[in-house]
Amino acid sequence: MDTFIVGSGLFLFLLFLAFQAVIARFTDPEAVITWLIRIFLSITGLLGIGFIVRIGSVEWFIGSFIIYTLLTTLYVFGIFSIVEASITLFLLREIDRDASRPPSVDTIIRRRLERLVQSGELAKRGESYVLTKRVSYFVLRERGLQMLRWVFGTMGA
Amino acid sequence: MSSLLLLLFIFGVMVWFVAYHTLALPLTGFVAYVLLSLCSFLFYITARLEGEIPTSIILRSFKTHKRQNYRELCTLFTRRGLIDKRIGDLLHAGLIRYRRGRYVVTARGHLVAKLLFWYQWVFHRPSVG
Repeated sequence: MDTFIVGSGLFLFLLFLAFQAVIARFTDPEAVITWLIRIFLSITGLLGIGFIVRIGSVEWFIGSFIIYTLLTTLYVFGIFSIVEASITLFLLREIDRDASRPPSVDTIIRRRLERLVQSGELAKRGESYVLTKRVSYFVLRERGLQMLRWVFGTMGA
Repeated sequence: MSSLLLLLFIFGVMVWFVAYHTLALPLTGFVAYVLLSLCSFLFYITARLEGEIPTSIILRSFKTHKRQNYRELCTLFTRRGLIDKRIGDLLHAGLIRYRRGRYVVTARGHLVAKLLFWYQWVFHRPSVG
């Protein structure tokens, strides 16, 4: 039972990655967060169906769900989030492509503004940018970071 | 603080060893504990991010200025906070080095860049950062 629970959790997480890889090829890249949530919930639903048809016990359902959720959380915040938004990794890729000099501040700001406009966070009105009400990945990440700084911010390094 | 977190983690592992025979699902418990610890450590490190984070700065600036053009947004940033600090992090991590007036990616840096490339290809992500 123990190994079955851990194995199920791991299998569900691998299924999550597989679905993400396939679905990403047919959907708008900016809608990735929406699709990650849908995939997560769909696989949770599959787990629930497995419980209903008695593939496993209540312990199996809860244990597998916990391990699957923790693995997915680690992936989203530890890998996906960093690759999506890390300027450090962007600099590394750019230096790898062209070692003569790193990108300028102008390049980085333009890229970020383009992504914020594409994700719907900002709207361009002529030459100006305005904030929209839409909540997307960047806003969620920003609010998450604020909460984490509030939680950990007073602790020493 | 990181050392303290590591010590706490090791303490938890020791508790697990002691309580092993009393646990109904020891392997599941251990795996869940390791994953929870990794999540906590990840969130702790994320909260300690330094350097200018463009998205945070841009979105925060709109609280006081509802409408801004590109030049106004650029004044929110410095080269030092946006690039130099991150270049320093890459140098410190051994992913790049400075040689003959230019930055050169090390073997480790090439490996990371290659992993990023493959991640983008597998998961159809348009770009990094």
